[in-house]
Amino acid sequence: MSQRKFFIILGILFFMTAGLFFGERVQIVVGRTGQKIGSMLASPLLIVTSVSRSQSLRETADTLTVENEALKGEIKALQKTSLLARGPQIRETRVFSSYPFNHRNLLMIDRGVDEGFKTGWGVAVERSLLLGKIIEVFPHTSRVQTIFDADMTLPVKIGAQKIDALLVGGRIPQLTLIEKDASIFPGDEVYSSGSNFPYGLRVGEVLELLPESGSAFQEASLKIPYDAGNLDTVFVFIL
Amino acid sequence: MTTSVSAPRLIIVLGILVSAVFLQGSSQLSWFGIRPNISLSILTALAFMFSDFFVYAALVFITAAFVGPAPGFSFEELIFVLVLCALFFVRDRLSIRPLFAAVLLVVCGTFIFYLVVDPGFIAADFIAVLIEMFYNTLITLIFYMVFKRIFSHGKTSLTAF
Repeated sequence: MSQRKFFIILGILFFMTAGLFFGERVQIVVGRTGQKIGSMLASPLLIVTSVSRSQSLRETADTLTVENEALKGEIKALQKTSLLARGPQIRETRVFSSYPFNHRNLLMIDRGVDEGFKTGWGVAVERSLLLGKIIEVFPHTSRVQTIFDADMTLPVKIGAQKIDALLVGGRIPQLTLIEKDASIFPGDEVYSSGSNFPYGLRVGEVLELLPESGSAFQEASLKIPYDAGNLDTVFVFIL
Repeated sequence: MTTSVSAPRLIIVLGILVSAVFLQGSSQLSWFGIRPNISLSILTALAFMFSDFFVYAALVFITAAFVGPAPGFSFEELIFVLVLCALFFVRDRLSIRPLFAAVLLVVCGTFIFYLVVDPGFIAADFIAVLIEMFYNTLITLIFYMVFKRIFSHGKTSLTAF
């Protein structure tokens, strides 16, 4: 056998065996190490970006401090009416890898069947912001579909009037099937009403109403208060 | 003119590919919510450095084994491999300068990848595809020039590996 044939056969065998037999372990090791190496390699870029963003960040920090105080009050009020009051079991888990292609927006987390994880469980950012749900479980890892995935849909309610809508995932998630005569405004809170998640879990807020397209319903875009690209840990709701 | 793949060259290439896989899965390199397909871009640039398909294909397979989103290998990885292998053969049929050919191929490669894997994505978010094509083109150009220096003695075969 020539060296070149040996080399290509070795490559194919490696591709198949690494994926089939060692895939998950390799993914965990590569993922964890990759996060560190990825951060290291991307750090020069992040420094440049952070300099340009520092001014606007300082301004938003002041606003956020005020908002934070207001939110604390709102959480207390919500706890009296929502499942959060009963304290659903939440488990913190690490995000070790994200889907490498842009047509899906999925995350891999480092807990799976062996740790009791199941499909359908809700996943949140900072315990109170809905991120997505587990769609597939492996022995030590789970795949999470986020609200940034085009295949994600989620029943939600908008504002104090609890107007029904359907969240459709995407790079900029959209609120659809909002009744034509419903009054919604930019800044209105959007929270989950699906059965897979604790009722009243915050998703984001209305960003802007989208131009009417002749449909019988209104549509709006959704503002998400976090950067999905910088998630290190997430919280899983055990149902 | 062809030269052999020396061990240091191969280590450098593998090191770059491993780093690319790390970066692609880590979400750190996301601009406007879009991540470049770094491994596709680098392997497109590499297609112009190797004359031996088998060496190139092996690098593609090894990269695909790790770039996948989950245990096992997926349809996306299979298409990733097929698109890159196809680019290798199309490369010589283009009668334009290799640098421009690399740009053309990475743009086509990105488009064909999504066309096969998820045509709905192109229709639903064509802007995202365009942004990714732009990112991929930049990365291909950078690595084409880097590899040109590394492989400055002509296209490489595995004759004396």
